[in-house]
Amino acid sequence: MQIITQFIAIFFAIFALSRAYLRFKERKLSSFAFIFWIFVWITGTVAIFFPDLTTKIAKFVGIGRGVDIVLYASIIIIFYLLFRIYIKIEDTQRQITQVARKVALQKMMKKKKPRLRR
Amino acid sequence: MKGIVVVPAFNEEKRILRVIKKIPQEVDHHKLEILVVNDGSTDLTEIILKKNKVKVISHPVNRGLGAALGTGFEYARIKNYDFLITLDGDGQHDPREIPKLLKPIINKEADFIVGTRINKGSMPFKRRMLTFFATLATFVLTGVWTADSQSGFRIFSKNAIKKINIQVDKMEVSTDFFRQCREKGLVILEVPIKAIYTKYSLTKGQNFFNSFNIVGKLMLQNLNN
Repeated sequence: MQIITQFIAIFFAIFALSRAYLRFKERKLSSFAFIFWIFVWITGTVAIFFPDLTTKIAKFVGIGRGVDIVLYASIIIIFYLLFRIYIKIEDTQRQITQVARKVALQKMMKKKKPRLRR
Repeated sequence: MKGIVVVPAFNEEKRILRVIKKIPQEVDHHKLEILVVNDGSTDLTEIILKKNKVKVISHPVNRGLGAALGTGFEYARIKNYDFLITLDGDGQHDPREIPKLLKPIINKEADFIVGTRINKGSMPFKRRMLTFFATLATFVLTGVWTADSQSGFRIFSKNAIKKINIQVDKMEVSTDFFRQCREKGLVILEVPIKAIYTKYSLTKGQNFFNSFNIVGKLMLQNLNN
């Protein structure tokens, strides 16, 4: 059973990494974001293949079980990503407003200054 | 001095003309021009305004109160107006009170005048609670205590028009004005006004749950800044 779980996990990690690589190649993902995703998926894969390692890290930072530290780290990462998504959406909204404003103002100014006939 | 009255409007076909007609064209020899920012209305607001030769700027899509006021500010900067008045398009404010509010701007006593609604007794309980909650949130987020942070009847001096940069799209703009004034050293003054509450005007504006969203957005914006 453990082998099946590990197989699914590695398959998913490779798939996610390939998506990140393609986005990076298309220049739709920054180098920083690409390195971040490589770190996330490699760390995840290592944790699945060597669960004892997470327990050692957990004990080192003062948390009882390895699973707990993975859970805490995941929650922190999810919150961070949610915050980033929120900021991105807000930026996009702001840009839509700027475009709407520019279009509205240009339309009004154009009406006021009719073109001169030759 | 010449000023501009910016009236943000979203689907206000029923009231907008009545509001516009009440606005004086001149106050104490200071010329007033009217600009309606039609915020992507899907009703006949734009057609009615154009038919009646009212100056109108139309957003192609609905962007919210803050965005509409931002467009009004941008226009005022381009055209170099000396002061900017904002009024709600639902008929809640009496434009005959403009001279009273304008006086401190003319006398250079303040940069931002807020018309604070004094007849809150006639305000429904739910709306009164909302206003109190918003005022409290304004104090916590901006450090400015005001009797009515959500009033849409405001006047800005030329200095304020130049310095205020509206970055928020929705209702949170009312609170953001206070934050920007405090940060940019603009003098705020409150002048009491009477608000006209009708069934129509009460259907407009903020609702209780939306106010939580506004506070959340302002808090996150503070974090982001």
